[in-house]
Amino acid sequence: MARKAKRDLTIEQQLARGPIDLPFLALVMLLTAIGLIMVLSASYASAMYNLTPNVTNTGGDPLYYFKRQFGFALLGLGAMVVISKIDYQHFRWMSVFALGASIVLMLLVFVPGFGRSGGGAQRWVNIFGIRFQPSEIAKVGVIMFFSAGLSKRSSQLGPPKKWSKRTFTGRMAARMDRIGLLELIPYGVVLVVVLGIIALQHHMSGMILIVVAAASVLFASGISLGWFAAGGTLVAGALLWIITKTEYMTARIDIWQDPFKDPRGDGFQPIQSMTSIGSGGLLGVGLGNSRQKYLFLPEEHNDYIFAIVCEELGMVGACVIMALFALLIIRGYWLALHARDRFGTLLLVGITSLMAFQVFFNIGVVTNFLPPTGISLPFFSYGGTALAIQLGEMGMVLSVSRQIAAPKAE
Amino acid sequence: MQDPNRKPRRSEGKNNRSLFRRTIFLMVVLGIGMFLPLIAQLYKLQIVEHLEWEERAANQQTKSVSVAANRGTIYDREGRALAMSATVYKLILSPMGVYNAVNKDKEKKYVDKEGDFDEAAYEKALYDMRKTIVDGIVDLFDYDEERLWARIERISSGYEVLYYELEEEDAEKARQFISEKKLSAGLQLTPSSKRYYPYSSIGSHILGYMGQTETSGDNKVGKAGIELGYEDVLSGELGKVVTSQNGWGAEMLSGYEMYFEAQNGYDTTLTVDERIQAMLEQTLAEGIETYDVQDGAFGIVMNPQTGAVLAMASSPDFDPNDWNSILSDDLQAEIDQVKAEKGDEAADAAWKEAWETQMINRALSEAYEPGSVFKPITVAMALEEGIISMDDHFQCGGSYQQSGWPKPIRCHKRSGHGDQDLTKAVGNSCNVALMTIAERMGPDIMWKYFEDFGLFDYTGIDLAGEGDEVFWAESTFKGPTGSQSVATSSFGQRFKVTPIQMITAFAAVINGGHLLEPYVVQSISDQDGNTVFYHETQEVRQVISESTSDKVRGILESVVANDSGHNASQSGYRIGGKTGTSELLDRENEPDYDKDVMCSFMGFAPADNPQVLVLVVYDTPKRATPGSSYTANETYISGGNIAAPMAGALIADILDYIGIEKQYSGDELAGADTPMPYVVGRELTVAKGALQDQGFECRTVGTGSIVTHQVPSAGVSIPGGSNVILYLGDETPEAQVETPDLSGLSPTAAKIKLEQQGLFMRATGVVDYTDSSVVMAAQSVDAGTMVSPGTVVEVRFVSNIEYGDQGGL
Repeated sequence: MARKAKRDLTIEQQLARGPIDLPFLALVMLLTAIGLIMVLSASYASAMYNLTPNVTNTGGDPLYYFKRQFGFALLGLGAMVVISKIDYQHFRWMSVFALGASIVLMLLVFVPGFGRSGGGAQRWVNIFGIRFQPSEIAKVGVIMFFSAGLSKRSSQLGPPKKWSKRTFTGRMAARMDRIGLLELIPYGVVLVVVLGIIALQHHMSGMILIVVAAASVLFASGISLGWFAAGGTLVAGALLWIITKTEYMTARIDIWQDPFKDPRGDGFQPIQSMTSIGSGGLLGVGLGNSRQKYLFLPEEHNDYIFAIVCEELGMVGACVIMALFALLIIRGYWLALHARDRFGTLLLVGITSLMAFQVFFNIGVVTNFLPPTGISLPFFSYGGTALAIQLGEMGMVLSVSRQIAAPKAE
Repeated sequence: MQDPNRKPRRSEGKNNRSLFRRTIFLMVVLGIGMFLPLIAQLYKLQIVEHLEWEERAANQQTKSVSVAANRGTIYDREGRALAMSATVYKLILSPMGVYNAVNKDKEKKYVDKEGDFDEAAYEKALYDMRKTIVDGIVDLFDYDEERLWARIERISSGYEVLYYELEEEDAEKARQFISEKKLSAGLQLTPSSKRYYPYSSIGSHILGYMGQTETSGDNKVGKAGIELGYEDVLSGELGKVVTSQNGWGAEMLSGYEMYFEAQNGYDTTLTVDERIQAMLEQTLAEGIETYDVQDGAFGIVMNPQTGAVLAMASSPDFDPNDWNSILSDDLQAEIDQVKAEKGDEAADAAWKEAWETQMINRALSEAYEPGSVFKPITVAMALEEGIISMDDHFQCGGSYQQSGWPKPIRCHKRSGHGDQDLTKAVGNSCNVALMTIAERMGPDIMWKYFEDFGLFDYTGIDLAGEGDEVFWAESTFKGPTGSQSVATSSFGQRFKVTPIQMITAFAAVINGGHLLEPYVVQSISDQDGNTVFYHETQEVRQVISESTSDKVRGILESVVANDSGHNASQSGYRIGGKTGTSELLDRENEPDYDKDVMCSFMGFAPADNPQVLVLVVYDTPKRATPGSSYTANETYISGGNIAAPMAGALIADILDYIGIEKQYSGDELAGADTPMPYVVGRELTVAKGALQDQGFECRTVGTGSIVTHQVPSAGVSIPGGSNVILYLGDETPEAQVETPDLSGLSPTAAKIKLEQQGLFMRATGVVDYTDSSVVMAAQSVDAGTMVSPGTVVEVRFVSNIEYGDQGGL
């Protein structure tokens, strides 16, 4: 398709061709590159020793994981470029399909032939040889759907709906409308459905991320803080109950507090992680010189890759990487603030918040600051499809960034 | 106010402000705030706790592999190797290695015609390699096939030890098998070392044995005796290779390697002499056999001038090469009997008891009541304090009434020893005399000397496991109720000391009063032969004076020469000693108690300058019938009749071996060996003269004036005074003669009977041609054996003295 001349474009189309945000792009590229290098370093040993031949047979190729990750990084960067060129206004209608598709995919997990279990839980799906977690797509789907819906909030408020005062339901509806509950109902329903399916997959970390991402969008969209207070209290109460009343969680919390209670069992992972981090010291043992990756630290190229980062690059290196993440997050919010419309803002808030929480939870768990949950580190953790989807999300951010008005020359 | 159009606009502005504020809020919280606790946590782990984690990491990331140090050899004092190490090999199977060898590049190696991965071929290759190994090992070493299959399939394991101690021959077979079949990925031989004890059970209690302890892991360490006590010296220092390892414990090739050279162990040379040790053990075994001794025996041979232990034995004993089985056939028979009668569980308990019995070195670890052997110590302290003198006389009426004690304490001779001087009182082993001496001394002096003789301390011998003595409390001994203890302690009863304490104290009595620290390691040298330690005699203190010691030696020589120790006497040697028969009243409640006694003898020679001091103790010779005073072979049960002859013969053997010249007294000289001169072809009268000069008597066979044959041949040494045979005319000696039975004969009768056959007698033991109680105990050539004429038959005589030396209440 030949590229149309600028003059033939509508204003909308012209806007969509604006320049992408270069600082954001640079940060993404930098983090992706560093992440790839760290995957190479961290996965080298387990790939060479072919640690889990029955799950992933590397055939003893030390570059096995790196090659795959590299391939997916290229794929993801391609996707990012393509997505960044889409006029993000189209995401409004796409959101419905994205959400729908992710729900269908998540249900496919339970269909024999598509579903794949990994790590003790049924949460993977295999389509055309590509193995991925549909919950990754669900996260984007929920953010898109919420942003699209909530961006119209002010106009929806328009003339207040007339509720019949004669019927009980009418009176109830009127009351709910007044306190702002009514408008929340569709989002609540979507959230409950998605979370329910993920709960069936026993995917605690997925649930957490979707809840916090959705909550960020809701928060930014101006939902009454009372609801957050209520929801927060509810979640805190539930957590407290789970932690104190269920043996499983109590044990996990105990281990978190003192991993040395069970150094060969559940405490093994956190102890090895802290050993990696701690032995890194200020300046680290040097890139590629991690000793912990030689079959000591499990999940060293997945969820715990940051421990290897800390070991090899030390506290200095770890702080530099965290600074890059911080800059990326701040830039994400900055773009959100400058977005052309509410939809853009909410979309960017959702995507940025999701990434920020992922970073926080991952590093928190790896450093044993938080109790263990299986959340991967964006751009770093091995996982091709997750990286590709992550880069796709970045593409959405860049797409929004195109339509930001250039600052006026003073 | 009701304008529907205003509300949304105002509302939109408000919403946008809220959107802005809340996004800023998220930016600050998630973009900055959130990282603060993470950085704090990193600071804690990487800066504050860095050293701890680094150490932890180093511990798990490096592996130190021990490099075996050669364990030192233990030599006896003549340089015979009693314990030595040899290289053996560990055969290690790595199931992971086998698996990986096949699994590596399997996609390229196992392909079908189309070039696709051939699963079946791969599976077969893996199976084939495993089968080669299993078949080979089963074939070579008869390993349990099923078990080996189970082990080889543990693919997560890289270290399965199949054999710990393959000897060189077997290791070579394994080595060939590995190289022929190219199995080095799965099978490995690593050298380790094994301890050998070439003399098996000889000296086992001194040497100890090697085994694993809770902390030693795969390594074996000394668990008793020298092996335990000198573990650090013998073992040397393990070297180590520190390598980096991965999480599976496999070594990694990298620059992390550090090497610390192994320090070989030092050789130790003992004071123990394997020959003397064997003699002592033989003496114990013979005594046990002859007198049907029930509860074992023990003994020590010491150089009283230095404290060097020449031999130390406890029977039953064990074989350090195979210490985990019962060595004694008798003990094993008992276990088998228990098993037959009471079943496996009882047999296990019996086995354990038997094992413990054979492992304990009673000469070192178990206190016993020394009995009358202790008397010289009491006498020595009294002489030293001037409380008695050599001229004192003691009256014995058969019992001793102690003031304030209801019942008199008996002497073993109920009728009493009558009037005796000090020498005779000790010779008679008179309890009454000793109690008299003790009462004169009083508890304070006795206690002081007990202390000085080292009875309350460990002797300090360099062997692990010295036992504790059992004594009255000082306040009891010296208190108002102590008088009985004072009385019985004077003759060595009602308290216990260890045999090593006893012999050490006794050595002080006879060596001029020096209490020495006994020892078994004479020197230690490194692998190049440089001596790094030489044991000098360690004197703890002077307990009595030289002159007192001299007096006691005289008394003890008389005991052997004339009195209760007579059975220990050996012609040509001046032996001193004291017998002991200790009652074991503490066993009264045991089911098989039958007036159990320990028969002991402590003897030394030469009496004027003691070179060896021997303690021999037999625990409970079996009485012919319960309560009888005799054994089944009609020996009166006492130290003088049972331990003394055995110990006397042992002392003579040892002196002979260490080359102490015999010194004959006038009487004995007549019986000393003399070479036979050559008299064939001489006139009878000339020949007779020549023989007489040599102290021989002669008889003639046949008629004539020229000697045609002589028995024995020229140059053969026979005891002086023997009646040699000269043949005259055509008479010739018989080719073979029958050895007569000498049982029950006196020395004179035995000599005549042998000489009638053309044989000669060398008398040993109590050679008193006038004492009718002296009878033959053993002959070196059994009755009925055909021997050449002129053969010298050694005959041992004992004196069956019809009284013992027991104390009693």
